[in-house]
Amino acid sequence: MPEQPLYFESDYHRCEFISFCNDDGRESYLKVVTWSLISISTALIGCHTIIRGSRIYAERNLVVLTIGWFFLGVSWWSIAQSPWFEDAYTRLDVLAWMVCFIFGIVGTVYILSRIIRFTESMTPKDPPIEPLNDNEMRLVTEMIRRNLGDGN
Amino acid sequence: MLGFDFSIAGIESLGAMMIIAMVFICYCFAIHLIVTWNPYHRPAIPLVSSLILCMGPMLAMSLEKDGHSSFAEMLEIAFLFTSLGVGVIVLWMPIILVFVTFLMLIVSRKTPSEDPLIEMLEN
Repeated sequence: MPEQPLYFESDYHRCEFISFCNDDGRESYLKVVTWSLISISTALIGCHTIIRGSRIYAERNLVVLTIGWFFLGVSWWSIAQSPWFEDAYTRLDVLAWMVCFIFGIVGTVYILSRIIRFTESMTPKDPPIEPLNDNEMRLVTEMIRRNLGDGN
Repeated sequence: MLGFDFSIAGIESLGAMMIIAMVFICYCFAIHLIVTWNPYHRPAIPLVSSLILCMGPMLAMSLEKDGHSSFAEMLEIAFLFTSLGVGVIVLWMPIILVFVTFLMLIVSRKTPSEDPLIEMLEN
């Protein structure tokens, strides 16, 4: 890889999209982090407010509902302000990475579920329960009769 | 703009993404097991397995250069893997947000039934 020109050299140029270009990569990284945090936090606040304002748990509150949709709209606006999504979705290699990442997640969850099932299968089993004796049977029958009645 | 390198390097990078996903999920799972520690859930075997699956690729990567590894190098690789994992999840965000917006639309228009129990039985 050629050595990067320093800031006082004539062929030095600021680059926005190449992560190894001195401090510009750091600036781009911080920009992505900041806008991602804005998108995620406004989406979370918006969803929470919409659920609080809807008729799931109480009466519908139009003001709260409108505020929630405003926050969700801000989240969409912040995504529209983030050019890296468009860059990513128009590149086949990035799309392939995203799909492979999902395959990796699914495979890992499957492996972990097999490990958990293996652990559960190693748990010592309790001995079979003894049947109820006459006194216990009478007690249970009486409890059911008192709670359910005689069916009348 | 469109183009994909189907060379060995391209295929290797796809495999690397799957390994990064594995490290990321195992890292989150190990943290989840530690912070919700309950001996009756028998978490020892899943925790050790997830730590092996998490540390194995990181150790292999740190040994790749010169055959030696250090704690600082492992931390660097852990930071790289987790930030790449979060980065790819963030790339999925607009697609996730489409589904979430659709769900919020349903929630906003929802009117609760007079008898939720009957509705639950019918569904």
